[in-house]
Amino acid sequence: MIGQRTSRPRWALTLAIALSVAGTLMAEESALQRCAMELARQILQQAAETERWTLTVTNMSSLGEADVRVVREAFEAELRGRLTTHDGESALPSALRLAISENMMGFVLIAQTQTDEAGRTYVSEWPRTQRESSPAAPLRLALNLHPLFRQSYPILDVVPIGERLLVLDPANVSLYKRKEDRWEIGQLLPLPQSAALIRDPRGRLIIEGSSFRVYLPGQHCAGTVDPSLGMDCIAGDADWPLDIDGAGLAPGRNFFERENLPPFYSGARTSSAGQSFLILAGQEGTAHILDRTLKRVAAFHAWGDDVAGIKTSCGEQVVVTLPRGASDYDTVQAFEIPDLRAVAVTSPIKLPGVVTALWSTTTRDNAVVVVFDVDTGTYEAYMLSVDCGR
Amino acid sequence: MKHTCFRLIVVASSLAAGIVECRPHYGGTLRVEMRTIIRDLSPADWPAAPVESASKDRLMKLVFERLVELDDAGTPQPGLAFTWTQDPDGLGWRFYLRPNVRFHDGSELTPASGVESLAGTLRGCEVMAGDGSVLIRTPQPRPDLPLELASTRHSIWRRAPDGRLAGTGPFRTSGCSSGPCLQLVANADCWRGRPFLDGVSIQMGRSLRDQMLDLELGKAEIVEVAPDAVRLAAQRGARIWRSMPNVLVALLLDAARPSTQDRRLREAVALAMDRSSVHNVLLQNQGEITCAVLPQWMSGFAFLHPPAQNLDRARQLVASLASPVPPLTLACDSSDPLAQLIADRIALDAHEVGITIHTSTLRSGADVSLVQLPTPGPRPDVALVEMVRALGLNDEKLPAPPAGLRAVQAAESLLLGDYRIIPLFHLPALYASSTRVRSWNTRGLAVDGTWRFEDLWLESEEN
Repeated sequence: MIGQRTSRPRWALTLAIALSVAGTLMAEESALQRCAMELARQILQQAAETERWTLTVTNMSSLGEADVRVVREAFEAELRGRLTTHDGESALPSALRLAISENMMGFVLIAQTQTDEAGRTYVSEWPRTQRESSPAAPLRLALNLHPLFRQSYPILDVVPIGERLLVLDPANVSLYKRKEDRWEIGQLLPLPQSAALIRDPRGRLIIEGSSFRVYLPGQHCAGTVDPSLGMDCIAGDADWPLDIDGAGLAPGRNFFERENLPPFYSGARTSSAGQSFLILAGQEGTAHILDRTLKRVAAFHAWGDDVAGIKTSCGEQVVVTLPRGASDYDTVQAFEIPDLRAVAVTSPIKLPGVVTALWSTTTRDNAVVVVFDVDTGTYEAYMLSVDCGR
Repeated sequence: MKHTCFRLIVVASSLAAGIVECRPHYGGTLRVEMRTIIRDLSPADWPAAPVESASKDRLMKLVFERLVELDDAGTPQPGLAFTWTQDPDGLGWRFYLRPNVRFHDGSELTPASGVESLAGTLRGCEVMAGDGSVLIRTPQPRPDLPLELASTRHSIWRRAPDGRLAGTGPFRTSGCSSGPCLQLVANADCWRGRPFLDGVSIQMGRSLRDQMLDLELGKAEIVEVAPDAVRLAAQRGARIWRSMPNVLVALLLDAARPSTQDRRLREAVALAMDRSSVHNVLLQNQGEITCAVLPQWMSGFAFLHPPAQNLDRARQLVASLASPVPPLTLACDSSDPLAQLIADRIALDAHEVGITIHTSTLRSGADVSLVQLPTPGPRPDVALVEMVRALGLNDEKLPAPPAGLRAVQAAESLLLGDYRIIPLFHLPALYASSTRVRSWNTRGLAVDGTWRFEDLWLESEEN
């Protein structure tokens, strides 16, 4: 059986995630080398035994200096003693130009020899692979952002469990183990296919000891992490854990509904001066502040659509996304609500993409934020915490 | 060239004050305008003109889906077929259909409906229904079959009982109230999820000037914009959306005309062209100057053909011709004022080397045509074959997809060396949009200019 493709390739996805998380620098370097050597062999096949060249290398691609050096060294090694500089005595060497280029599918090596007017062109290619970049430098702000995990498939929620990480995406619940400085896939449980997908998928993962619960559009699941990953799912809507009872995802939509409340994208409970409030990020771009009786007591108009409550040693804060405008990058900031006023308590942090999920952790001392980088097409989960030491 | 060159650039020329919404909202009708008129979305009937064909392709992708789709890198990905296999003899393919997919008329996607769609388009192949799959047998091994099935021409569709065309895509067709237009309504049961928009209203046959007026008057949210109008549109507060440079602007020298039979004359025309001044002034630096058929972002080797005006060499070539050069007629699109300006400039450049060119808006009888040809990306092997066929050039020496870059580069070089086609520019698809139009997770345009309206949403008007 050849030529197989699948839309939900569990094994392929697992492998892709593992490769992505593990990083593929070495594999890419060997691919680069192979490509350069293959190109050199093409030239040797066509050239006369006596032909010698002077080499010039031009990098027109996004590859860095280190990779260009790898290409050059592999190319030169394959051509062995055929490269030279003209010493004035031997026959005049020909020009050999090596260009490193790229297209949508990958990188392209192009060599041109100019022995006579005709010249020859040689092409070798290798596909682009996802490459890990360095994690973002730690931000020295009151709001701290710690990278947790990234993949090219939507991340709905993540929960760290000691040295492990439970990840919820639209197709799977996956358990990763930390191995040195990277996550390695441990177990993966496919989720039952829901009747219809949502283009802005929402999902929550709640950990209670070694058990977990999953909330998804049209289904909810309960499972265990230990001794092994297991899970049972039930079709049907359930109330979501949103700091407000009785709220669930509207069928086929990306917002929540509850009786007597306007539709909302997210909710967070917070308190100030002994009073508890519920904040709902409404559809119309307004954050509604509700008291214990769910009566609206205030509204803020300058927040985005995602809010999450955090409890710290220095009080209770609400982390919110800020209006993005036409940008591809969201900003988050923490606020407190004294006297029903929104008071910023941290500087805003610009995220490397748009926020697709912002949830308080089960213990409410942090929040998980998932960001989609439109440029690279990757989803990245971060742990957001408020640093009280500032 | 940095990696960023490979990302679709969507430039927001100004930030709309007061935008507060982040997550996509459901609702609203997106109003779009375009120049070309597409009267029929039937996959069985394709317009001959490349620009119309590309427009139809864009519209069809909103309504119909295919068994296989191509990602931005040109790799086949599952579409309505969630997996596929090839028999060991290389002749048989089995495409397994995604379950629980429904056409817009409510009927289920079945192997029989897949066969019905493909039997008419996959000529020479035997298409059969299997158990949850579509079986295709080809007379010769066809490693490119998944690639071919990703073409819009192999869309899966059916004729609903009311006579309308039904697809499985994010939007279904609806009635049209007046003029050449297309009304699309969100497919609530789309297996990928309902689009955020309630619908899309597409007005056709609108001139660029009228489109811009409608955008400014709030009668449209997305309109086409000419390269020379981009700056003004941005200054007036519109957002500019650009695809990768995917439209080839080129001179096509008619092989049937006696006047263009001498290769030296054709080469002289190519060497006379001053692309830079046209690019800087008339095109206002939109897109790229080129001497290659395939754009650099698609092939990676367009730089092998650097644009070089060489008037001395061109004059030498003209002088070497046995007989005096007769005046040539250059045809361009009568409805495109910018094309006429470019044609005038080309005539001026040719005059510099002793070649007289008269411009005309009549295609018939023209020796040379100024053509605009969309590059059907993102695969260079597929694009080259389709472009050469669309231009009516000899395709015998082209490598059949899937072909390696080496073969594609060699074939393109051969093609260019004949000077029947003289590439001038690669232009992006350009649109101006209202600041109410927002995108989610994807850009509003794919790298090849495909509309991704299913991922767009509209900001509330009060914001």
